Amino acid sequence: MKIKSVILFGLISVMSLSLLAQEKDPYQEVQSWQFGKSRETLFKIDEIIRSTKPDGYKNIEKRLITLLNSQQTTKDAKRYICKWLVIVGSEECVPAVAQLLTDPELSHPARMVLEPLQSQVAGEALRNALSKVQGKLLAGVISSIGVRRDTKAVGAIKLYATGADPVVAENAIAALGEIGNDEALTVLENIRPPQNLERAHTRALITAAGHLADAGFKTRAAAVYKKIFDSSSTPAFRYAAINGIVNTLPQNQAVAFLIEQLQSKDEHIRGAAASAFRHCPDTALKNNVAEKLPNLEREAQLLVLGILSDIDDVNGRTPSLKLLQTSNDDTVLIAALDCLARHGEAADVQTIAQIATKKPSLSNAVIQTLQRISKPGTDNALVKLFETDASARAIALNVLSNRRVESALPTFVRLLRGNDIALATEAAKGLATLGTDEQVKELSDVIIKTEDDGLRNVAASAIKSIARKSKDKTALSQTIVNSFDAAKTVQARTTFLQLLVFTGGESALKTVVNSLNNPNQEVKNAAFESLVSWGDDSVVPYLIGIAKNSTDEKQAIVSLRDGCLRLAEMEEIPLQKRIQILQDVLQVAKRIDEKKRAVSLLGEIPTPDSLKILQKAASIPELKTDAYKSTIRLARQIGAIYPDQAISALEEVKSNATDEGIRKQAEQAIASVKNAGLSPDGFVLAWLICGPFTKEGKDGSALFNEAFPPEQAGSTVQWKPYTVPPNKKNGLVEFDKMSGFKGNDRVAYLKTTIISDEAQDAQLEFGSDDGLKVWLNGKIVHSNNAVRPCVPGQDKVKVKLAKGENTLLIKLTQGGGEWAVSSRIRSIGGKELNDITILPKI
Amino acid sequence: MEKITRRSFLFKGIGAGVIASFPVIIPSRVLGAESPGNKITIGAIGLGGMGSGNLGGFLGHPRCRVLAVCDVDQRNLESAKKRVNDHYGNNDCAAYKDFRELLARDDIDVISMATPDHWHAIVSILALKSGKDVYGEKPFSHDLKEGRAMVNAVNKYGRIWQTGSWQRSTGNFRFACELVRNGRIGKVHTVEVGLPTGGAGGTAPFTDPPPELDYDFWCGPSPWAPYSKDRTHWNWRWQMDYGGGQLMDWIGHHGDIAQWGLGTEYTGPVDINPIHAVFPKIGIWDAATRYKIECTFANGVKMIVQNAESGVRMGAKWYGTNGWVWVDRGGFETDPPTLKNEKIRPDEINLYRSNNHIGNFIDCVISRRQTITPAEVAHRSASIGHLCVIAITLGRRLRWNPEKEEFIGDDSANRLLGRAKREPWNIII
Repeated sequence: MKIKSVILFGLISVMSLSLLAQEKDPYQEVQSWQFGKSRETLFKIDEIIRSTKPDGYKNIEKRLITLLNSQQTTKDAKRYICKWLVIVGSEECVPAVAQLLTDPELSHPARMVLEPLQSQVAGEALRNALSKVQGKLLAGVISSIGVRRDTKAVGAIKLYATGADPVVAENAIAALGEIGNDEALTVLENIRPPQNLERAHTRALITAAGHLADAGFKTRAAAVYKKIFDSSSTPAFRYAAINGIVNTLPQNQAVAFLIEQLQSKDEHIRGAAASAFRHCPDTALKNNVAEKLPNLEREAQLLVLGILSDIDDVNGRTPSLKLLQTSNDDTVLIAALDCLARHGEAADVQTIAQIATKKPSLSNAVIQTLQRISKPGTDNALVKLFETDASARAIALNVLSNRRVESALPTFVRLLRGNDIALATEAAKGLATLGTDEQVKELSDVIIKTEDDGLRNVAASAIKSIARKSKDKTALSQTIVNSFDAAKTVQARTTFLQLLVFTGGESALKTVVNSLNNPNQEVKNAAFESLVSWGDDSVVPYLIGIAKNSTDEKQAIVSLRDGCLRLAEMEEIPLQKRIQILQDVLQVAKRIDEKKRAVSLLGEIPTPDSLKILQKAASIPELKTDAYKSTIRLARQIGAIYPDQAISALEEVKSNATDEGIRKQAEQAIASVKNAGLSPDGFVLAWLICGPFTKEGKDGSALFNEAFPPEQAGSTVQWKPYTVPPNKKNGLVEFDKMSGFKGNDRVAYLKTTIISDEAQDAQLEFGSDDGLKVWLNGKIVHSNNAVRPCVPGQDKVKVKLAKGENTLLIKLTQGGGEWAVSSRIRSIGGKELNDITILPKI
Repeated sequence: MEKITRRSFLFKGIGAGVIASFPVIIPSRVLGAESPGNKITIGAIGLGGMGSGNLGGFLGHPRCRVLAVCDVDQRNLESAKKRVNDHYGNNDCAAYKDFRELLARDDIDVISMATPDHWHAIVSILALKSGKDVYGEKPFSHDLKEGRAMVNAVNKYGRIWQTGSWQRSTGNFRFACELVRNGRIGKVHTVEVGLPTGGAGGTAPFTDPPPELDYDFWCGPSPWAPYSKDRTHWNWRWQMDYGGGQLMDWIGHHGDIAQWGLGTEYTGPVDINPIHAVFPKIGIWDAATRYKIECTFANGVKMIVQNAESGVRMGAKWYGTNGWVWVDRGGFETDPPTLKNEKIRPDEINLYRSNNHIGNFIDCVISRRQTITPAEVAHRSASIGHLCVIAITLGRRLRWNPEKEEFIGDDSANRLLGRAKREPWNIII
């Protein structure tokens, strides 16, 4: 890298020099430069300086001095020459630059050169200029002398500090403060400034005292600060004086002073003292103050504890522990606890925990502190606390869980196995947070053995939470099945049956199904409840079997209502399987309620098969009205993709429905389906959609160039029909409002087919939130990896539509927040495009 | 019973502030009374893009009351004054063109400072020396000497400072830094700081300034140059006399985050090596548009500061012996990917937590505790940008003493640590 850099800058140097050899002399060009002319001239000098080493600056400086001295050189050019001299200048340029100090337009550029130049000559030039300039220019020269801290100038500047021009006087006073030697300070002390300069004067005194203190003259500085502090000066100056006094008095006096100010009746003074405490570089002094904390007044305790909570280098532990023992003030105790979060040690764990016993209202503060202590051994101390101190056990458990102390697991398991029910129960609670698959066997054993309902329930809860995060549910399921087989009591068996719902799996289902024939009614009931609650459709044949064959009417109803119909609503289950479930329900249900629910759900599943089943269901008199309503809803939804089937089904409703309202709805739906794909104003309404697609570690923008299956030739994609609802304007497809798509950092695809009666030019207009990539007939026609709100028509693309079918594919990325796209097809001039139909094809 | 005044509330509130500080210094809204008499009073100086946004933040904060606004552009000033008055439903907001008049008011506790960069130091130093706490925009300063003077004023006058490097108050950035600080990617050897690419421009003709703008005041301590519409209002960012280009605009964000992750917030690099830089040749915008600078810290860790191109993305990306972490406003990636699911244990480095940048500042104004982006930290983040700018200005490698804040063996570079202020302005006020 380093070599490369040298080469790069070296190359620039050679190139620019050889280039310059063929061009005009850039210095000559600069001479006539004025604002308004091309800056390219200036750029050439910039480049020369950038490509020249310091030992080559002399030559540049000479050229620039010549230009400065020339009457032909414009003032605008001289401004830039001064800027360059800041870099390449030396004592040699001082005379040429100094003559500019008296020029109102060039005085500042000249000071830019002289102020930072480490040279007596530059200082002398500035001092000499004092008598030659007035007003603002004089103020400028004085301030440059101040910045240089030129001690030789004190005598000259002091005259201006009491002069009539307030701007000059203010700068002179400030410069004396900045010079800040004994002489300058004495001058300042002897000035009686007019009222309008009082603040500037005190600021200068504070600055001068600071410089003197830095130079080792602490007593002198302390006296200045003390005088300001004791005066009725502006509060801000008294605050600064506190800081100064603390840093200049001998340590014992400084501690006493600081403690006094920390306990001042004046809250501003207390705040300033706290700041002085924080910024004091003397750690011994700070420790000295901290030691006295328990004896300070409440407000001082709070301030200092707050600061100790932020810093490591002062002992906050001892005073905080002391306060825990002595203070009865909740606010102080909380502040001390906060401080111990940083300074506390393993040995303090019990003391801290006991505060919660003494003052239950402080439990949260205690927990927060124990959670944050980071010193070695804290975890072990917490485990010990959990084991040995019954009164602190709940707190210890909470903290161990939140700290995720895995080293506590063996202790939890040991206590789980023990005879102390209360301890075992708390241990099981701990395992609910920290436990892994490995502890499920132990928890199952407890369920098998215990006669205590509370412990059994807590152990079961722990297994449930472990199951939720388990990566090997099959193995977990087998562990629970084995435990079920080993269990002798009804309570244990029913508990395991409930737990199997959380693991699922073949052998688990088999165990549950077999238990339906268990001689014990409680076990039987538990098995049925688990079956009805099962998490996937593998259970459907059993539920249908019960509905069909059970003599228990209630059981038959529950198996369909809470089992089958619940599963048919689950988005995770493929559409065809959901249709099959609903078809089965229609066949076996004995009550009209379940059949009606099935008909209603069929109206939500966007396939032609659902339509067919609904048409059939309409032949059952009690279902007729519900089936018609669902048919209308569904036909509207899928009409753009399956117009023939939708219209046919709607015509049937229109012909057969006896209810005038339904007939009218069917008629409106027919009209809508006939023009379903494209809105009258050209927005595309009918789509096939799929997604969401994500990739670990990639955000919305990064996913823009990630090719998911819809972009990959030959890949299988499950497309779902989607039609923009009639109440949405601008064809807005809002993925963030769709249940299966919600979330951040993902991608969705939309596809449709544009059928054009002839080959023609067209304009595609898009709005998108966020990024948008568009393919027409397999070729990318638009790409914009934007993060933005969707505004219809914000991107416009001209395309050629082929005669016949044109496939339009859109990729839409989502970073966060809203997620939508709007697509419109228009003629090149933005007018309506004739002879096109939108017909998505699966 | 002691009378509770507006100012005394600040310190009465300290106890409650401590209560609220678990595990971080958090919402002051829980601290109690919100009657107007108990409000923290705000004066807003600089009301362009960022200033206007920050004004909204203070107007929306239940503990604040904006009393005065200040801008050298009458349009900005009137618009801000109207906004404040509309917000409170009265006509009480005072409006000033000269910030010194606003700072002379003893009833104002806090200054929101969002002027162009070249005004940051003068306005904020005078504010601090007038006893105000300051929420200042980034970049912290316009040059290194200004930055040091600002830090000194904060500390000596006992004030609270927050810098507008708000990314620190965002969970992803903090977590990314915690992963790096706690060794999850092994030993860190490099961090890439990807910043925006600049643009050439500023070719609009010179004209008289609009009547509503006091242009000479606007130029203030920086060199005067004729007015053009490309000179002021956000465009100042691309001119080195008034701003610092994209590099300085963003160093206080991603550079600051990179520092947070490295734990170098109170120091700086020791070696600054310019790899390349491209400057516009035309127009009045003179800040580098493309740039790459390699900074090396004393422990050998490298920080590559560059415009985002050639595979370097915006944001901060730390490389260690066992993987990498990349974070930006819209993204957070790690290698291995599982790092994203890591938990930071209490016995590891847990960084300062804030979920609301202005809220954190106000909480600290009450508790007098350190903000999440205090002056020294902001100064060190900005310093990296200044060092890079000086290195590409001179076109050579520089050695830097971060303790003394001086270049080693390079007089020319040391002359660029500060700049003489145009009369009658200076930072030694």
